[in-house]
Amino acid sequence: MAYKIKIDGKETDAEEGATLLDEALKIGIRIPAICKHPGLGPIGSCRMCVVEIKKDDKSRLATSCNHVIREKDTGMEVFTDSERVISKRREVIEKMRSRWPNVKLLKDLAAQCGAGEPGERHPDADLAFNACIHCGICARICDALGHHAISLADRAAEKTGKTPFCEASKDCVGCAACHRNCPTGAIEMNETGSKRTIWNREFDLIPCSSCGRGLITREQAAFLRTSKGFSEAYFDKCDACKRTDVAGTISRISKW
Amino acid sequence: MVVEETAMKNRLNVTPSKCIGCRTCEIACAFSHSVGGTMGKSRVSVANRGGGAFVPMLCLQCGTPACAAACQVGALARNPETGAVEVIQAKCVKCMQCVAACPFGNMHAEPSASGVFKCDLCGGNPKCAMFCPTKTLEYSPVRIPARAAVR
Ligand code: SF4
Ligand code: FES
Repeated sequence: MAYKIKIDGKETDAEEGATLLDEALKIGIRIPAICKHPGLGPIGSCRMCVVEIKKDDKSRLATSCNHVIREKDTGMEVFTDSERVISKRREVIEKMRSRWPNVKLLKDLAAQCGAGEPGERHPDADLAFNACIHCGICARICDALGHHAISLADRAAEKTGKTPFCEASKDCVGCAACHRNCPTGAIEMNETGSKRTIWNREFDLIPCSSCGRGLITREQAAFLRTSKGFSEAYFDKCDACKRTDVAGTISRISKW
Repeated sequence: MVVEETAMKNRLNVTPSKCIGCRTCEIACAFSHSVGGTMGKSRVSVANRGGGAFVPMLCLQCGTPACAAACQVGALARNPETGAVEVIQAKCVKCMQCVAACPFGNMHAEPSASGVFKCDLCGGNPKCAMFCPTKTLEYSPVRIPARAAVR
């Protein structure tokens, strides 16, 4: 089902179940967002994606990433750049910047929405350039991948994405998806040869049996084996060497 | 992923015996998928088997794709119009499992694992076939029922 709504004056047929943020994007309106990742369910924690919703003469602010369109939304008017929205968005980013003044992502967003320099510094202010800003993307990715190895833990200055007690976790498979998706680069990963170190644990990358290049860890392969039935043979070679092999087979069996 | 009925009208046929190893397909693909034609972005690669035998390697758009089976976030889906298995870039979390899972090596990783890419049949107008001088790669109408073609 689709319902007629208006976003910034543009009428659109919003699909039931879609989020306001996606619906806006569909008609070319970009709403700034931090904690939203299109592959994951929204959590609405950063509040950057705030919009103003007007319905039946009532107006309210709402986060657009987790506002799911339902029948009751028919006829609603959404504003992504009303005065109220702009001042709220600036407030949100200024508060975040008083906590993380040096994080580039926040600096850029502040410039984008015309926010001023943060006033008073937050008591737990983190001066690092790559710091955890609590968006929870790492933990949600880990959950989506079925590992549940990390979560946002602890309070105040100590709060970051981490494994339980910051110890090497037996649930972590070392895929490094958290590291590659962290919007501020706060998650460290080191790779030397076929060894990868992440979250205080060392992983072996399965070396390609012809060239030695590693793509995934032994633990990832084991997970795919038990959860999806992939046999060991799938992961014996890297993509380039597989192509060479398959080309060899094709040239053997086809007539020239 | 199960083979769904597709509205696919054309199929990319490959006849390796016709290939002369000119790599025009690689260049066409690179230009079609990157600004300025970065060769590393080509989804097709021609393997030289020696003695004048060349085999262009590209995604088979499998009926039951291993890449999609290895993806845990639903970032690989079939485009019902072209029949191509496509990467939904926004959803990808870069775990590299699809690259490791494709039995034919046709899922590619960006440098330092910053993403993945594969053949998307150029959305229904594959440039490799368009520029292949010997018709090794040919995008031609499916003559057998679509269901059997993607198997
Ligand atoms: S990338 Fe590999 S597994 Fe996926 S559809 Fe293409 S050939 Fe099949
Ligand atoms: S993107 Fe909506 S609250 Fe973070």
